[in-house]
Amino acid sequence: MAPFVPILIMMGLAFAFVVLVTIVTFILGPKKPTPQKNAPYECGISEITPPQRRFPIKYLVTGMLFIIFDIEAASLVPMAVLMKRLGVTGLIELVTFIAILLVAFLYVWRKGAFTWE
Amino acid sequence: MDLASIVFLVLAAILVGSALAVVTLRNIVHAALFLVLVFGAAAGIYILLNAEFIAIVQILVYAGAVTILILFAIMLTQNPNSRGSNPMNRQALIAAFIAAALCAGIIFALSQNNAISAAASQAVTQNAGTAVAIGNLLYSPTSYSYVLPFEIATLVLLVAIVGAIVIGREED
Amino acid sequence: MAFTYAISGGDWARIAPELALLVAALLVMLVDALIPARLRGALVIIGVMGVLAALAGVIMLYASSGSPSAFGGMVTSDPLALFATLVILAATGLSLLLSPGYIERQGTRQQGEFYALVMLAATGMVLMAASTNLMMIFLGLELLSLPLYVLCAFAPGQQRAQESGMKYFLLSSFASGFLLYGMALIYGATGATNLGGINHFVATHAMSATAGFGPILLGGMALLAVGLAFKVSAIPFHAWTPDVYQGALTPVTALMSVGTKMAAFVALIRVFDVALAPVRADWQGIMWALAILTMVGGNILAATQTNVKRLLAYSSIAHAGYLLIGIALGTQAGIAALLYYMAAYAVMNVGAFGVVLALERVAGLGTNLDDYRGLASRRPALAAALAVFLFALAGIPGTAGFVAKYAIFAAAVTGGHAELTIIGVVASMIGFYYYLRVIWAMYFVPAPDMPAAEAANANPHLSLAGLNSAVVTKLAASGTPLAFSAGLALALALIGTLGLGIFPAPLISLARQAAGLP
Repeated sequence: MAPFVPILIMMGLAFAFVVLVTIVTFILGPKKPTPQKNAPYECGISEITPPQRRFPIKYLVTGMLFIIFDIEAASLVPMAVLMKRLGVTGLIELVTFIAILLVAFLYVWRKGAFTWE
Repeated sequence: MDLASIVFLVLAAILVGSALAVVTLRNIVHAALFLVLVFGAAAGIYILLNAEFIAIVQILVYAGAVTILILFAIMLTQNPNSRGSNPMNRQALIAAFIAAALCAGIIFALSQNNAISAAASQAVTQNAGTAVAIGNLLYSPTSYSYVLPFEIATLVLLVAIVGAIVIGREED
Repeated sequence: MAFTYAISGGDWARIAPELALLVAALLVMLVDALIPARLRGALVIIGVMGVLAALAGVIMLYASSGSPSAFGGMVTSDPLALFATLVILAATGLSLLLSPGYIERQGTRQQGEFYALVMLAATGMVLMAASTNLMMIFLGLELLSLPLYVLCAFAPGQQRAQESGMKYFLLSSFASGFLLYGMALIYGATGATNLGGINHFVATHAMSATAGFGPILLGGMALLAVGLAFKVSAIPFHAWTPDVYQGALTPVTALMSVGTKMAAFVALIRVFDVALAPVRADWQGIMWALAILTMVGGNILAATQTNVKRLLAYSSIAHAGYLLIGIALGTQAGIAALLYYMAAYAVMNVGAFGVVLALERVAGLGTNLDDYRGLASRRPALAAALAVFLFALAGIPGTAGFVAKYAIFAAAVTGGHAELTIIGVVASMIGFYYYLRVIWAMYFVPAPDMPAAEAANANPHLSLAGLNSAVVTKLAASGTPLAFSAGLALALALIGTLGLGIFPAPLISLARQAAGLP
């Protein structure tokens, strides 16, 4: 348990910071309400159909690419913590790994999957 | 009661509660969001078991990526705003039976003072799940190397990337 | 903790064929990303170069001495792996040569992806054939399956291709689950994932019912057998084969029918015939039954087909049955016969699919048996080539198919399973019927009169090009002219089919060496 005490302290600090900032802005921020400000935000005519609709499939491609690169990043962690001990061999393994990943990255980039039409 | 037990109880309570919310909530998007909480609490329990690497993977891959994919899939296939999108289905009885059987099996296995529970507790005390231990196994053992499977796994991911692009992109 | 690093350059040299294919695949992806779209057809050259480089790697490994095992017993480059690699490389090379022209005709824009995925699938096949560890077998299987899922669904906007990809993905993932569970149980029973360790454990512990781990090992073997039987499409795990083979692009079907089978059969040999040889009594019955079911069922089902691609799919199931005899025997002679059979099957089956491909129009049109009527008068060379390939598949003397069938049936007799030979010969007789049906249609049935309007519908590209209806009728009736590389592939397959039939000795000795026979 002991090694995780710093993490717990860190998490506690982060949480406290968020709460504190919210409270402080709430107290210190100027509040001058007018009827216009209190009215719900409207623009144009009221909606006819619910605004939520099905998403285009390009979001799914982004999601899939995210999950794949995410797994690759996760599998680097055990190698990263051992990097010094692994030495040159580890470096070669890492470079092979990154090179394959780089090909995938270049490919995805050139195919325009990162651009947003 | 030591700190670890208290933390475990809190995490377990969150896990069971949000798992129940996943199966009972009427709105499927809310159910998916509670799934994040389930994964997070499970990651916390992994940390308690000294399996930090599995906890990292649980957070990065499951709580992060998998739930996002689930949400995308929900939003792709149906209107996420509909209320009754996660109806209680008729398999609750079967599910309860299977869950009870699984629970009984685990309790039986643990109550037997045999090799399984001994190996499990040994793994926890030896920090078998830490990133260092897994790194040792994956990248640099003395006689038995998992370097090749590791690199091959990258290739499988590469294929997955190409497949995602080929299948997912609209024809232009 | 100090490490003595086991990995050296020599280990990487032991997987030279895999590396050559992989580098070619990565190069295809990179070049594809950099060149303009109209030049992408040329990417096939990189693929063919990769296959040739892998071939050079195989020859280098045949010539090299020393321990074939590499990466701490993960993979090997023993003669068995090298023989399987040769077969897979032949199938990959021929499929690549068949692709240009055809995949453009099918409206595929993503040619770079097509060739990259073919190369990656080939890498997975070779890797699976070289694996001596359950984990590597699984990874190899995934590396070959994943590209094939995508390749099956490759034809854009074609419902049958989408169905093919989806079906293959769902069913094959399910089968992979069986396989993985089987591996987990075998690991639980024996405490090893490398095949040598499993063999050592099984050999030292008498695996009777009293040995404690008996049921776990039995369950593991059964699940593993299910997973691999799915991949070689043995009955009753064959249901996916016709739909997937019919819907996929034909070069993919050709690669899949040979490469996947070869890789999965090597895994079957390594796991059952070698590692689990001490408990042969426990699994031999399963393989025996699978072989009989697959031979008889495959041939009977094929006899009712009216689409040539489906017919060849069922014929591929039937051939998996003959091949399973080699596994069921559990003898080295059986393995040698299986390997020779697989090599012969590679050339004759890819060749047959090659002719189908040359005659196929957009969206799988022109693959029905009716479309082959009178082919001999329209395309005499293609008809003759298809006749040779079908005669070889049927097992007519003078072709590779005859020598292969003879070898495997002879091995069954000497191995003490004459009943398998009898059933196999009877099943082959049914096989004659449907192979000859195609040949009959080509040579002895007159071509149907195709109205010009129907012909124009069948081939929209041509009518769009503004050709007059007489030309359209003529072209649609005879199909598109053969691309040079496809012609080369067919010629090579023809040489292989006849060559292996007339001079089988060199390859038989290579197969016997791979099986560990003198």
